[in-house]
Amino acid sequence: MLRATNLTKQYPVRGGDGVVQALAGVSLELAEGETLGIVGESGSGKSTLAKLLVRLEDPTSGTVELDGVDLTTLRGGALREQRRRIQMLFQDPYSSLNPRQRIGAILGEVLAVHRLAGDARGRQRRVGELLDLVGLDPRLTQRYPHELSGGQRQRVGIARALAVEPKVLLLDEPVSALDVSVRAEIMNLLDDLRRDLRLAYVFISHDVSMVRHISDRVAVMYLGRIVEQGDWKSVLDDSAHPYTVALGAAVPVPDPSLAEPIQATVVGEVPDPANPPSGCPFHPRCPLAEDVCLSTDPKLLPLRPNHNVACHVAIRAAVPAA
Amino acid sequence: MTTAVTPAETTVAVGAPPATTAAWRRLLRSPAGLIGTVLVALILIGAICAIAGLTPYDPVAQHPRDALQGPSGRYWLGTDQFGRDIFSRTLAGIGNSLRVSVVAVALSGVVGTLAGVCAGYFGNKVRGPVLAVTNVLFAFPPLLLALTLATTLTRNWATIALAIGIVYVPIFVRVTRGPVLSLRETDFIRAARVVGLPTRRILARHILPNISAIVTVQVTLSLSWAVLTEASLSFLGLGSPPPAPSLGSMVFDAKVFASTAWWTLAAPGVAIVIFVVGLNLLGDGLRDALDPRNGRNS
Repeated sequence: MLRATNLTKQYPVRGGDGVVQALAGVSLELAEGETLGIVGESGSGKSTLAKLLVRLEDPTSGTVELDGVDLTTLRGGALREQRRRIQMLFQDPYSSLNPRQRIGAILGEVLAVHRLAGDARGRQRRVGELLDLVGLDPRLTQRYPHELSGGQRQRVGIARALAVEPKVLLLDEPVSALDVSVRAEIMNLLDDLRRDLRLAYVFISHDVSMVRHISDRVAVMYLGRIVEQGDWKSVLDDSAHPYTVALGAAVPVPDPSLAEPIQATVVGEVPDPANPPSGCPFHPRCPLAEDVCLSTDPKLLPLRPNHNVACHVAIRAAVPAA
Repeated sequence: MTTAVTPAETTVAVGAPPATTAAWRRLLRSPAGLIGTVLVALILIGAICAIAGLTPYDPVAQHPRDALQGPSGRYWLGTDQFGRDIFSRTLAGIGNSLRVSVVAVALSGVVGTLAGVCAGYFGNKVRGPVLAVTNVLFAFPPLLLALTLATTLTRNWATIALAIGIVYVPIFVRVTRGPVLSLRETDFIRAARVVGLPTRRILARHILPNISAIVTVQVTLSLSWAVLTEASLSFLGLGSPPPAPSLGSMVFDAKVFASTAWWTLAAPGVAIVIFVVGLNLLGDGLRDALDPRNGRNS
């Protein structure tokens, strides 16, 4: 249904003639009703990917297709009509609602622009339904965003995205700005909505345990590319790429009696994307790096059915040398 | 007389509830805001009286036998060399000055804010030309540009207003562009785009309301500069043509008599000071009262 092909995005470096390669050829597919989790550190290109998928920014190259329609070439009214079907939930509920609009106006405006609920009375009814759908009291329509809690605001954000009846919802770290106590509520709400409305999700997070909770498939991003991709269980429990292994090890163990020290398998920081390392972009931090990793950029290759990885070492281990 | 052209401090009013009554309460609770409001109210009452013709005497009527008389029960603020009532002339001068300043600032506020919003929101194709024009205008000393326009065009109050208005356009461009630039990158503007709102609506409903506080403060401060510029032009003989009373030309006329008849200078001088100080204090008070960081929940 949603297909991104070979997306790249370069930003010019301010005050220089270099470029930052924020995305270096990312392809992904999303079936109807499916949830794709995207994990990676900050700087891995997750957020850039999200912006390209909803056309907040134009890709340097590559295409985003929704049911066969290429979104990257649309303009004006046609774009507005098409991108109704991919919506986005933003990370920070404190900056994602206009502080000068009442909740009812925020939602009603969207309905009015897309002529979705008839006249003013129809819109009012629909706004009430939307608030109900996300578990808010419909009487909140007269409130301003600053009168709501973070969790309530995020629910309004969800209602706004759902107002245009999308098929795909992009969730960019949807709970990481919220109090721990309301995270579970929002995650459960998203889970319910997915089932009830048959939504497909792209769930972006740096938190492997969140991604595990909700995803059908997982893609791991590093320095603007996907380094491992496949069924969530295979990728997260049977990780092949040393970077995914390290991300998994970084998840805190909930049981304090397991006094096992977390192993520092990955050292250092994400490299400067304006000056990426040669060969495999992960090799300076990789415990398994070999000579080939310094010179050749690994391709994303099938490791098992429904599990691809971009790592020379992992692929060689899986495929017996000829 | 020179006009200080310093743009108001720019703060993005994100997070501000539109609690107008709360803002009023905050304004009147601060000393600057309270004094500014009172002074501006005084000025407004005076101007309204003048415009409605409610002055003790006709501001241009001459009473030669009463020339250069000091303040008295008959002439509250004395008379000038032609025996014209200075109180009436001062009120009329305030009215005149206010009319020119309001029209000038309305012009520069609308044009400058629109240009600033466009330069902040759209890419380089719009930003480049707008900023180029702005910089050229900014490079002109305001008084010089007003002088040039006032001498080349026919001279009446509308021309003066136009001249002053053009001079202050760049300030509004500068003051609005920055906040719009940062608003553009906020999530609620992104959300408005993703959800498919037309650009015109985003600008009108989402950007403009969120810079209204900045524009309000800037309007107040610009009014005070416009009053000064108008007075300067009249003082130089380039303002409203005589005998129409103007604060600047009254000061000019009075400078010969200042040592012997101080009241001829005092009235227009004090009026200008009240005008400018009042507007500046009000501007300062508004800046604090409309700042979202003050009492977000009040």
